[in-house]
Amino acid sequence: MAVNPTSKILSKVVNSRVGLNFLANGRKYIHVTSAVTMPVKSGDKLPSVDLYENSPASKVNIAELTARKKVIIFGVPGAFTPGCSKTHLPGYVSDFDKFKSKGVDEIVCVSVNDPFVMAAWGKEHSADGKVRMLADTNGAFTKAMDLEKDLTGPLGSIRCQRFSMLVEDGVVKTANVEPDGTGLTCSLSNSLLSQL
Amino acid sequence: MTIKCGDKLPNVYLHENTPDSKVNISELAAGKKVIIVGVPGAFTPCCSKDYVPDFISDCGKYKSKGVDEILCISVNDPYVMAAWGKDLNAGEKVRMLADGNGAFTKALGLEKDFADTLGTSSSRCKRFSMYAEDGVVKKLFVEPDGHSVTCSKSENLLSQL
Repeated sequence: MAVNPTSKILSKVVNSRVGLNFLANGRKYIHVTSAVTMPVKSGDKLPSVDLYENSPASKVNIAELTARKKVIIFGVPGAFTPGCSKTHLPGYVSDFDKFKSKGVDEIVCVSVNDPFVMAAWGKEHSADGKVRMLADTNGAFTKAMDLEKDLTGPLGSIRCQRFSMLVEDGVVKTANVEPDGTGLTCSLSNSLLSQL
Repeated sequence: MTIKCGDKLPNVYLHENTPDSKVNISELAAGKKVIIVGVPGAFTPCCSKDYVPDFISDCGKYKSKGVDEILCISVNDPYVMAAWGKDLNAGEKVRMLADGNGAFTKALGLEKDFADTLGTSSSRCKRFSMYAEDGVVKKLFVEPDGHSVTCSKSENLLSQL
């Protein structure tokens, strides 16, 4: 489809993926796929979404939590899953003091699990006082950050891609999303520490 | 349609310990005497404090009545179920089976909306306990409100066997 690159048309494609292709006759055209928002990135404001801590009655609004603070948030596909349990969460628990010495006020772990499961997982890893285990029970935060990953096959539901980020006064400064959503590379604590 | 006494158990897969380890519930129950306990959620206070622990500690009594296996199911993934079982010292006494996507719960007709208490938008399982012989339900106790601990507790089911 040939597109007349006027500002009126271009304004409609601002939030879409735009590519430049060539027709067989050598004519250039701009093609537009349906709008796909990009996952969270540096400069984004955190959405005002409630997460849950310890019980369904205990709400924590993530935008309020991060206001005027330096906060690390990391997300995992599932509480008690092997990668999250052996490596990801323990790394942040053991690096707590290092993060604190770099001026971090809080470390938060988010997963699409209910708050009872998150609390139990945190307890198993001695997270208390170091990493706050916040339940994204219905995936609202994950969805708002465009970080959903379909893990209905292995886990039965849509979950969160593995990520880590530094947030200052509610704005994302650094975001590391695992390329495949579940790997254990750029989102690990030592990697984020080196970025601070 | 809700499961009742005389019905055959549905032919559905659950998972044990990992997503790779499938267990077909009707195959498991074939030719055996089986107790199945359903709960709204792993690690929830009510399910964890007394409800499932009672079935674990009553294992010997069930065995003496000829029961071959005791299963606990919940709409949670297999890693969560395995961790919960370990936390409760379920060991060899109660098998923790994950109904990750709620297929078994739905097939039993025992889904419940726990948005008020758990905050979950997707259904969980009503609290129930049952006794099945060769895959056919012989005794069934479903909590009238879906979550209290009354008719479905181990002590009551045991007394009915």
